[in-house]
Formats: sequence, C-alpha cells, structure tokens
Amino acid sequence: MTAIMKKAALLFIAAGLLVCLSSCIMEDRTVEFVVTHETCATFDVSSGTASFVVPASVYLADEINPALSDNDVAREDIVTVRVVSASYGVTGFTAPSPPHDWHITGSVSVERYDVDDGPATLLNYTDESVQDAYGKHIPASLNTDGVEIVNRALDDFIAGGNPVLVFKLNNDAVSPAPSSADQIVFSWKPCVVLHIVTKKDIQVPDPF
Amino acid sequence: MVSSGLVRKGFALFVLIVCLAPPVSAQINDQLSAYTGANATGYLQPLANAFGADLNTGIFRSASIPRMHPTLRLEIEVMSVIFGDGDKTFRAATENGFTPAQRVEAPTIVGSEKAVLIDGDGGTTYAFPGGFNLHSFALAAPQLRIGGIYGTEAIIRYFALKISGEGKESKDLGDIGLFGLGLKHSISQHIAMPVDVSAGFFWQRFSLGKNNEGDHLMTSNAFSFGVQASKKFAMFFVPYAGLSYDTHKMDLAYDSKATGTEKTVDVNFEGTSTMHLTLGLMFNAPGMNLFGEYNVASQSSFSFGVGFGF
Repeated sequence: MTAIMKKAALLFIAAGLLVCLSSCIMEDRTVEFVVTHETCATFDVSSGTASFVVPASVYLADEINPALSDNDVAREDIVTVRVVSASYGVTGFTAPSPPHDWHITGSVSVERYDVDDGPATLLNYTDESVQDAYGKHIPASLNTDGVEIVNRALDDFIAGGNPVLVFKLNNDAVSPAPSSADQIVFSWKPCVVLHIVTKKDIQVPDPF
Repeated sequence: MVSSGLVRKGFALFVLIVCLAPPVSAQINDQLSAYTGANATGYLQPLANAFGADLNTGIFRSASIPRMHPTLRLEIEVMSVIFGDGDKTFRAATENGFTPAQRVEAPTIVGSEKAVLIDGDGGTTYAFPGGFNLHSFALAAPQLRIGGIYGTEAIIRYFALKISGEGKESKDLGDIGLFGLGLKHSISQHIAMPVDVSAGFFWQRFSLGKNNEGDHLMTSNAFSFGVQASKKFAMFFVPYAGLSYDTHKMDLAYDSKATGTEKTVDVNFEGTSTMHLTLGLMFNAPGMNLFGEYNVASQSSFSFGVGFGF
C-alpha cells in the first residue's frame, strides 16, 4: 500500500511539474483566421418570352453553418462576414433545335424575405452568351446597394438571427427572341464569395 | 540556476512538441486555407527561415574526437530563433476576383493575431488572416553521438510519431518526424595544431502533418558542412567555434478553399543557403555535458542542451 501511495505521489508531482513547465512555454493567443466560402443560387430558366423573373431563396444559416462546422468554430466566434466578389456561369444548357446561341441581358437583385430590406440590384449582365458562359465562372461587378443588403443580412446572422435572402434573376432581353416553339432553357448559377473572419483561442509554443 | 532553467525548458519543449503537433498542424492549415500559393509563400516565409536556421543549429560542438576510444552520448537540445519586426508582415495581394486588386502589409504567420480588412468596389471587403504573434520559434530534438572510431564521430537525430487531433481534428493528421545523419572527422589528429580541429557534414529531413491527399503538410530538408575548432580549459570548459555552409529547402502542400472549391495547393519555397558562424561554450563533466551557443547566419539563432554518456 505504501508503495502504491509513493507511486501515486510521484505521478502527482510529475504531472504538476509538467504543468509548471508548460506554462513557461505555452502562450495563449486569440487568432483571427479567414474562412473563404462561396454561396450560390441556381436559377432554372425555361421561358418562351424575353422578359422573365426567376427567384431563388438562400437561408444564410444553412449556407454558413457547415463552413463554420468544417473549421471547428461557432457562430459566436465570428468577427465579421463580408462579400468579397461574385461570379456567374451557366451550369446547364438545352440546345434549341435548330441549334443556336442565346444572348441575355438583365440583372440579379437581392432582397430580404424575413424583414423588409430591398430589393436592390446586386449585379448586371449585358449581352451575355449562354453558350460561352457554360461551365465558366465569369467575374461580375457588384452594386453597392445590393452588397449592403447582403452585408446587413450577414450582420443579423452574426447577431443570432436567421436571415433569408431572395435573389431574383430579372431578365430584360434575349437575342434572338424566344417563343413558345423555341424556348430558352438553361440553368444559371451566380455565386458570391464570402470571407468569414473568425477568432479562435489557441495555445502556441513561444518559449523565448 | 540559469542552466537548470534552460534544461527544464528544453525538456518541456520536447514534451510539448509531441503534445502540440496536432493543434498547431491543423491551425497552420486553417490559417493558410484563405491563401493560394503567392500569399502563402510570404505568409510562411519567416517560419521557413526559422526552420532552416533551427535545423542547422546545435550540430557540431567540440572538435576533439578520440582516435580510437569509442564514445556514446545521448543529447537533448533546443534550437531557437528570435523574430524581428521585419518578420511580422509581408506584402500580400488580394485574390478571389476582388476588385480593385491591391497590395497591403498583412501579418505573416509570426505577425499580429488580428486580420487585416480592406475595402473594394461595390461595398466589398477583403480579409487577410492574422498570425500567431510569435516572438520565437524553437525546435527540440534528441541527438545521439557515436564517436572515437578512427577519429570520426557519427551524429544521428531522430524522432517520429503519429498525431491526431480532437473535435473536427480527430481525423488522422499524419505524423511528425525528424531524421538527421552526419559525420565529423578530426583533422588535428593528422596535423599538429594548437587547437582541436574537425570537419563534418549533416543532413536532415523534417516532416509534419497530412493534407487531404495524404501527403505531408510540410517537409523541410537541411544540409550543413563546415569546420570546427575547440580547446579545453580548466578541466571542464570547452569554448568552440565553427564555420559552415548551410542549405535549406521547405515545401508545403495544404488544403485551400481560397478559390471557392477545396484543392491542395503546393508551395515550394525557394532554397536558401548561407554562411554560418557558431560561437559556443560547453561544460564537459564526466558522464554529462551542458552547452550553449550563438549562431550568426542570414537568420541568427541560438541553441542549448544537455548530453549524457561517456
């Protein structure tokens, strides 16, 4: 019994010593790191007219939470989330018969579904070839009013809300003009790149 | 006592490197995930330089090698660099189609913990990740010296272990490993000189972590060759000096989502080479020795440690 007590005491001292030694080498840091996340909305278009509106809803929590989980951080750890850039491309294209291209002109607007905010134009596209955009990530110029709606929604998400954004594809013109016999059918996918700045408490070895 | 404090620190560092490899390895990958190759090089350059300096430190000490008197000594040594202000930031470039493209001073891995945010067109914002705010970077390694055979000494550094993390890091994070091998030969046994003189070389390979493709997150190769001189004073004290030529190469292969989709980014740091002057003092008692040295090179470093054996 005495031997066991001695061993236990030695182990206790050794554990204590290790803790003491650790404290002189380990330093606490709250490090801000950046998670890059791309949020996309898919618009499935099938129209016999040049003017059409296709909506797509995005639940920010459903988009951002998996990215946070992948990086082992919680919503409370977010410092800020901001829009970095946007792009768009065609992900599906049903060639008309006889085969020909479509050129489309319009805009993507954004508004809040859960609160009254927007709509505002997020990006414009002009005389865009559907065929050429197939499989591409074409950089888009963003509109400040639309980006601010997204940023306000991101701030509400950080504050614990569950914002829902509705993106609308507002097409104004198609060349050549589609008809019921020659419908324009394609899937269009605009994406917004977000930078999620989060903080994480870590210990780093910094002995000297 | 200062020396016992340093030895305790060295032992603790060695233990903690084993314990800390998982979170540090995972965190480096997290920090880099926002970057592609160009920024990753600048972000990690101070760490690459420190790795090279640390690895090429603490190798050669006393130039006295018995002609035919086998010796065996196990050593634990700590090698470290202290970072300067110039190591804390680098000239980073925006990525991800951010407009207008800009270059700003952003933290390196040893820089400020705070992210740097800049504004762009249309209300957009770009964020550069913070660093770990490190003042120093140290490595600890066990080292075995087998000497006294035809005036030649072999030096071996080795440790290896599997690492795994907690939470989302519970997956296999690969391993951490160091292997180094070198030889040193007494010159003064052939030519009479007022001090002991030897020449030698040492090669090392360090690897850390694992990326999604199963390759190492980081690999580092170092090589050093040079000459050393030493002389014993007052029974136990051995001041020593060395002049060597060092090379170092580091490669990274990390998982990045900077372009929106996850892919492995390879970063090959440009190889560095430098002349290296070592000045040190060893306390050499029977059965045990203590040493401390300062190394002047493109990235200066210091080293200390303890050895046991005969």
